[in-house]
Amino acid sequence: MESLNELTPARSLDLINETLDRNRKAILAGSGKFFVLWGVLLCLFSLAVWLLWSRSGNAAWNLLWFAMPAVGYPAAAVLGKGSKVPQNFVSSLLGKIWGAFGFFSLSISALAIIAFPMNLTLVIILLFGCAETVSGIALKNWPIIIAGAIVGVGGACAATRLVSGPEQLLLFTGAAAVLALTGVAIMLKK
Amino acid sequence: MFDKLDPLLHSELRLAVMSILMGAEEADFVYLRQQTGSTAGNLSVQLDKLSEAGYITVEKGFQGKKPRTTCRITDSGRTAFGNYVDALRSYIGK
Repeated sequence: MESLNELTPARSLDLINETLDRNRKAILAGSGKFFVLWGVLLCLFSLAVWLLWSRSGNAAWNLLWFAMPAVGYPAAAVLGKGSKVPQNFVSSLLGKIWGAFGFFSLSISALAIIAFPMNLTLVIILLFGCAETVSGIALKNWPIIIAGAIVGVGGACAATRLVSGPEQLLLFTGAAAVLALTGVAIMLKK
Repeated sequence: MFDKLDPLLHSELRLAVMSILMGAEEADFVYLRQQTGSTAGNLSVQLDKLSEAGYITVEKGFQGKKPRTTCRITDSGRTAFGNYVDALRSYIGK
C-alpha cells in the first residue's frame, strides 16, 4: 500500500470502511480461539468427572473441576503468546464477561463445598447461560443469544428435574459444545 | 463550501493505519504491516509522521526477548480522524 495523494473522497471513505471491517474481523477471530479452547477443556473435564464419579460413586471427584483453571489459564497464555492481534472493545468485553463467569463459578463452588451446600449444577449452568447470552448481545449474534438462553434456563430446569448424580455433569458437556461452537461462530462471523 | 482535507490523513497508508487504530486499543507494528500490506520501511516512515503530528504514540519495548513496537491513537488523533471523515462527507454530500 503506497502513500498516494490521488485519493478521492469516496475512495477514502471506502478505504476507512474496508479497513475498519477487516480489522474488526481479525480481532474477533483472534478471540474466538479462546472460546474453542475453554469449550474443549470444559468438555474434557465434564466427561472426566462424570466418568470418575459414575465409576467410583464418589462425588469428591468434583474437586477435579478446580484443576480446570490451572490447566486453562496456562494453555490460554500459550495460545495467546506471540499473537499480534490487538484487542478492541468487544474482544476485551468478552474476556471480562467470561472472567466474571469464572470468578463467580469458582467462588460459589468453594463456598458450597465449605459452608453453603447447594445445587451447584443449577447455579453454574445458569451463570454459564447468562454469560453466553451477554456474549451474544455484545457480538450482536442472535444464535449465540438464543443458545445461551436455552443452555441457562433449560439447563437449570434440567438440573432440578431431569437428572441427578453424575449424569447432571453431562449438562456441562452440552454447554461445552455450545461454548466451542460460539468460538467457531466468532471466528467465522462475517 | 467544502472542508479542507487534512493532508496528513489524506494518504492511503496513513489513513489505513489510523482506521486500524481507531478500532483497536493498540496495535503491534507487525499487525499493522500485515493488515495494510505495506513494507516495514514505508510503514515506519508513515508512523513517524503520524507520531510527530501527535496523532499516535509509538512505544518501543520487548515481548520476552523480541523487540516490539506498539502504536496507539491519541485523543488529538481521534479528533483529527473525526474531522477528516466529516470533511470527506461534505465532499460527497453524505
